[in-house]
Amino acid sequence: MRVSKVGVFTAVAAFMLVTASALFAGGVGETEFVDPEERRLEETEELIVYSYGSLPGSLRDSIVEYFDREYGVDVELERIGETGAVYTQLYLERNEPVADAVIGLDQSYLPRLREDRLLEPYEPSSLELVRPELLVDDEFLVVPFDYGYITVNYDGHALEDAPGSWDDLLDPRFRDSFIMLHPGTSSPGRNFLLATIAEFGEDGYLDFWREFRDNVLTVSGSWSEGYGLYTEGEAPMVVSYETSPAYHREFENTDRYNALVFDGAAYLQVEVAGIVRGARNRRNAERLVEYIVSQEFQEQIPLSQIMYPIHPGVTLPDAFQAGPDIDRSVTLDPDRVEENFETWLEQWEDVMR
Amino acid sequence: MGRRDALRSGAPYLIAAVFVLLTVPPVLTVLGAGALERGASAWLEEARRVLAQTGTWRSLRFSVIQAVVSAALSIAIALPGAYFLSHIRFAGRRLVQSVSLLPFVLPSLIVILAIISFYGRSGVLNQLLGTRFAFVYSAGGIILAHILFNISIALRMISAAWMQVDQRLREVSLSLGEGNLRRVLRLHLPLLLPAILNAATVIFLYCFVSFGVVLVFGGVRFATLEVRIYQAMFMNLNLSAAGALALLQLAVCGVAVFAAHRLAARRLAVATRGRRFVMRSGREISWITTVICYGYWVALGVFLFTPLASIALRAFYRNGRWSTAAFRSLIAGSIGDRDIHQIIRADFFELVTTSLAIAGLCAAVTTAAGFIAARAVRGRKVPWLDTLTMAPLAISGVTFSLGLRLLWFGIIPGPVLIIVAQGVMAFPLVFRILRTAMEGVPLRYTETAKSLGAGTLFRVRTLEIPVLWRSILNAYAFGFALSLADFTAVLTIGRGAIVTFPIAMYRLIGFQSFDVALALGVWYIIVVAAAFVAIDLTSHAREKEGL
Repeated sequence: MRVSKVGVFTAVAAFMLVTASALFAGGVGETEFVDPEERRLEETEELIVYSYGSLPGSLRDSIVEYFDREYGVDVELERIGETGAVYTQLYLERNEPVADAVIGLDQSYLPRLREDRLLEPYEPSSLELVRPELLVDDEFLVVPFDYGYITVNYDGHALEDAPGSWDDLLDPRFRDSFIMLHPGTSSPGRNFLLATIAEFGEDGYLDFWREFRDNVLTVSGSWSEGYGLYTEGEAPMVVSYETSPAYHREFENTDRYNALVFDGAAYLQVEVAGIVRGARNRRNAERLVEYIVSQEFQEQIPLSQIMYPIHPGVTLPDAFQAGPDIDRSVTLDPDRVEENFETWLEQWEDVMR
Repeated sequence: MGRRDALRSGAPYLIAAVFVLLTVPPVLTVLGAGALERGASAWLEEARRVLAQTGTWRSLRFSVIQAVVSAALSIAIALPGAYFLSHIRFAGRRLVQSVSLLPFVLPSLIVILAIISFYGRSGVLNQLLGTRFAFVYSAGGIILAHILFNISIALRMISAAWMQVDQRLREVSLSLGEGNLRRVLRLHLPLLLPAILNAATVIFLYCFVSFGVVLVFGGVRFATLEVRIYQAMFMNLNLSAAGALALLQLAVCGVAVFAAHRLAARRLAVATRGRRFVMRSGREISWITTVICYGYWVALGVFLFTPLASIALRAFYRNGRWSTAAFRSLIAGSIGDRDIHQIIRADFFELVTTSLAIAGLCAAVTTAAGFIAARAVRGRKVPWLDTLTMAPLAISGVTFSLGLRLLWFGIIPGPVLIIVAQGVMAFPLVFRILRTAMEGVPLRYTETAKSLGAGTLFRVRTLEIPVLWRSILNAYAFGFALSLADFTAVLTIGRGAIVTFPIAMYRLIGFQSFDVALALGVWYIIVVAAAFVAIDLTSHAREKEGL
């Protein structure tokens, strides 16, 4: 007897399909239409927090120790990967949330957070902010965690005569002098593209890039790569944070690296924290939000995150004082960005290729 | 028809079922969420929109072109090397084999920076010439990097196959008075075609899904499909679009693998049999061959591996001065007032043991699975299965790991999940190596042993493993290397609690402690090189026994 190949194949394929869909359904489908807020699980003495992979270990420790000391609560802080992956994880778990809180998304995620209803609001008992524009959400779905500006950084050893304005950047003497980060894969890169749109408007930014193109040596997929190229001396300018030079001043005692701020204005990035909708341990998540905005926690931000603390009571370390003055924060409305970013990116790619 | 035969004829389907069960649900969990949620018609609408974008097709075209060129050049450059590795017992053979694997295990960020520190505008080469050529920021840079990453695949797969070419065929050719070149072209290349096509397919796939290398050297012009998938998934947070693009990528890879397979299958009939040839020692070859052989390795070393050496040297360079400060920081555990263990979250010993334990286990499990699967379908042409098992190369590691964790976390412990994720990612290469090798050994041996009454386990232990030893080690070495170099699965599944070398290096670079990261990289290279030498030594010991 000969078993027909087609028969065996069909049987196996059917088996696979059934099993796969069963597994699949178990993973996502089962509880699809139940509001997580209504089926909140019984509280435990725990707190599960999601953040991105590069959250400094010292901040993690500070949170873990604080909860252990004050409340005897075990904190599990999961550092997932890049910010986009943190969001995807929250989104995929939204019907059966695992995490109680999240740290490290930025203001650009707000429209999606609202639409997908991933967080629940909480207004901390006291929220003192160094700048009013840090309150990116007045419904308190998120609270600010730290902030910084996306600017051009330059290496003073390689560039004696740094550009003084956006127009200066176009000067042919800076040919092949700039390392851009890909706006589709790196969030500082994305914010820098947005900064040019804020500066030149939707009608003018492509003209800027068309001229600037020749001065761009390369486009890196991630900040680590781009910044590595820059400190290796491949090009004297890179997209980074306005606070990046503070790192070199503080830990390497060198002031060769500097940030450029044109006309006292720079593109603002606010990193935020929030409570996951349907969080099992809502009370502990509230405590976390309170702790994050407190002066005690914010004191640690500058030298661990190399970003600015949101709390006005924190005295900035000397390394942060030396940077350029910023009198005006620039941002684009997140809803407008959400709506148009794909188009802007496509157009930018068309110009750059 | 007996039970055994039924089992045998069902084997490919069984393998496919296990494979699909391992890979499909995690991927569907992530990418299928878009369809599940918004309904099939909304999903199709989104898919149509994405597929209608000119950028998508532009990326696809660039992905294919650069991958074809990279694969072809890697093979062309590796061919002479594979010949020398399989025919001449020259001094430094082991070194060459182990060192060529290094780029494969290093985090891609380190390899990219290594290439730049050598070929870059302010790199060693330009400094020596007193110029500032930006050659590396072009298609040339992409291909250079891809060759560096993948040449070990070509070297190992082709030399292993070359060693299995029947010695008698060579003798016949000699007796016919054919010249060396003619013999290689007329006899060896056709016999090696399956191995060459296999290596080329694997390299094509690795280059096709390349991401960081393509962007940094080629800029936006050369953004691959993988870049667009990443963009859709993590920047635009559009799972439907990411799913549609991933399907397109999978389809193209499927077609490429299937086509290569059809091409190779036609040749598989010329399986080698009989006595294997004896490698010639340095004394038995002409001086001119010796010169060419060493010249080749030196040239390869200069162009491909000095970048790695230059980045190792870079670890001794801080703030414009030569110093061992980075190494001292690593030992002292601090940079300035910053605690390094705080940054890495593990001490050195822990780092070594975790990395080696995960990689060792992962390689063992994957090699065993690959061996069993290759054995089960031995002597049979199952192009659909050969295509299917290559699928993980076309799936994004982040997507797969994320899905795996979502599905199984809490049921299966984290470290096991990491090993599963890495194992699935390594399986295509491991399986290919073992399957190609197994098809090269005449079925006759096993038939004879069977007719003499040898049981399955006995045959595997005393016949198949010894005969295939070199390929099993190759498979193990690549499984080991891929697991060590993995960053995505460890980070996505381990969530910062499990620290391996690449994670520690990325953490240091993230804190701008570039030289300390490289110092750690130097230690990593030493540990890895020791492991490879140990793996390869076993193979050489066997060779001496005449196997």
